[in-house]
Amino acid sequence: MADDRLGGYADALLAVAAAEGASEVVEDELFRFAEVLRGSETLMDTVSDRQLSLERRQAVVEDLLGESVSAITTALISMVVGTGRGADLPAIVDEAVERSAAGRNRALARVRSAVELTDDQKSRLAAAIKSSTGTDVEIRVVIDETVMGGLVTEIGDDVIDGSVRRRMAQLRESFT
Amino acid sequence: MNVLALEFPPVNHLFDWPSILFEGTPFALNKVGLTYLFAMAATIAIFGFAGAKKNRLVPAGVQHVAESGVNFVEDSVVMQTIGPEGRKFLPLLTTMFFFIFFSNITEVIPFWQFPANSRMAMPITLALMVWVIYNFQGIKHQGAGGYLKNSLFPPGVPKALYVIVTPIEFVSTFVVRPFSLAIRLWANMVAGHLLLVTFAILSATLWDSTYIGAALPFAMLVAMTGFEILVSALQAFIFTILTAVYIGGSMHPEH
Amino acid sequence: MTRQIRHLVGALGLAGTLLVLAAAPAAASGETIGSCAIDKAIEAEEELVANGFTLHEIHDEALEAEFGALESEMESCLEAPSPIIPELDEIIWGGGAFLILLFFMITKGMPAVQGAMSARSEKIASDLDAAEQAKSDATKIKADHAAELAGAKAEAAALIDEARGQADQLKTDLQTRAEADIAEMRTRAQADIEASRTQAISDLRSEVSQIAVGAAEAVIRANLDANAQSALVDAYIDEVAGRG
Repeated sequence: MADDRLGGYADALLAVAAAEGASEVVEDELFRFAEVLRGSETLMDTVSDRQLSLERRQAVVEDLLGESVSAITTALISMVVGTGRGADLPAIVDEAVERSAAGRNRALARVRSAVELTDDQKSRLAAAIKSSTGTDVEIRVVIDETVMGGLVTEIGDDVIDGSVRRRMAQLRESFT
Repeated sequence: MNVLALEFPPVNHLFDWPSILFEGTPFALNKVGLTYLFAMAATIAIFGFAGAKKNRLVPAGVQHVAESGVNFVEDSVVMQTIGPEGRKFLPLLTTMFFFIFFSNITEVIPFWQFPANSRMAMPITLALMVWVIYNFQGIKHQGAGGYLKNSLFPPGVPKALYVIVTPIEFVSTFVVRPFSLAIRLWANMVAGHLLLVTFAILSATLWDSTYIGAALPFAMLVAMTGFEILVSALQAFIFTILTAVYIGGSMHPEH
Repeated sequence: MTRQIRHLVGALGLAGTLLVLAAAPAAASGETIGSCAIDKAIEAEEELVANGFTLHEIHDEALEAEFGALESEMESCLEAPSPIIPELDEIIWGGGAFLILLFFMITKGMPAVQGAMSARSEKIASDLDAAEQAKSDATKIKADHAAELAGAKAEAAALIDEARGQADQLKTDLQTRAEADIAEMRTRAQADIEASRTQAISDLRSEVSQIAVGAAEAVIRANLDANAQSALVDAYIDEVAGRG
């Protein structure tokens, strides 16, 4: 439905990032912001609040990002919010990341972890996924405290949950 | 006629009375005629008086006499001889009974002492009247032929005997019957009157000569007086019931 | 009957008494020969005197003829009409009296007496009928009353029975309903108790699990240092690699 439009925005983001020669960093920063936005209801309400003017929303996003991300990333996010598509931002970013990965013949593997992964760990994980599923993947790590320990990998609709959170849930279920 | 110093009149003189009125005419009235007038008057008095007193619950006096008489004639005469259909003869038979009784009973009524029916006049007249009535009833109910046949040829008799039976029946039914009826009444009253006269004369004569000698004839006189009262009623009844028998026989031929 | 006999005896007595007073041969008989002869003699003497004869001049032929006539006349005293030949004058008077009497009896006497008799017997019959009717009416009324009474009694009995039956029914119903209510209440109470118990157990278990899991989480968090985390990731990678 909105795929065409989302696709259009995603392609635009990827094109700007590629033009600046900072695809890798921008993609990563966009991905992380999208995850933050997805996880924060308050922020999501703010960017999609029709009571606020688009400029005000852009200002909120720009203030929030500040110096923590590159200027390009900030500009891209501000642009999307400025078009009034703030609420669709996570989906647009996902689409962009997936298209980017697909452009390199890779699937996106969204990995949730309580701690940051080392590059070694990421490459080993990609190799492990390749060996078990036969798919080349691009690892995107999402820091999620609730995972507590271990990882949760999502590739498309497949979920490989090896988190402490799941163990705890299983424990809780076993009590009731 | 002089036995024991008794003077006894010839019999026919006892029944011969001088005329009182209309002497020498057919309407000469003597003691006999007066007696019949008395019988008529007495009966009329009783029934007239009884009929005037209506709806008394218990009849008394003359009403009782009249009703008893009617009941007697109805139950003992009509119903015994003719049956219910003979009720139309009840007035005739009742009249006959009372008329004959009153003209008989005068033989014991003091100072009168003469029964009118010891004269042949009314007995034969009534008997001939009965003869006319029963023959008329016979012809009326059976037809002239049937009446004669049933009277002269009684059923159930062997045919050969009709030679004897038929003349006897003819004489008895059509000739002798009224005379026997009349003579029975007349002779009884004559005899009664003679008896009473005999004992009365005997009593009177013996009283004149011996006093005591009158006792027995006088007792007989009293007894015969009672007896003659009975005879008066009885002869009235017999005359009446024979009349009813003759009428009944004519109405219902015996089979 | 007795009364009739009494009447008859009375009549006999009366007749006898009157007879004693009146018994006289002259009255009991008709014309006597003696009176007849005397009458004739007196008549003859009067005739002789009238004709100028005296009893001394007895040898006169005319006188003899007179005496002859007297003799034959006195003989006529012995004659009387035959007692058996009916006399016309007597037939006329007797027949007339009889016919008048018969006419009276047919037209008035018999109808009057018979009317009185039949009226009386009708009255008696109707009185008897009325009495009978009254009696049967009374009997009927009595029977009706008895029937009504019996009906009322039966009705009352039926009412009492019905009332008793209704009372019994009501009692049974109430008892049944009470028993059912009690059973239902008991069941409901048991169900409530059971539910409460289950709820309590469930609550307790969830509470316990919450506490236990919370405690476990706390312990785990405290023990998850960098090495542990790294080890977990490595273990995960090995596990993923081991799949397939």
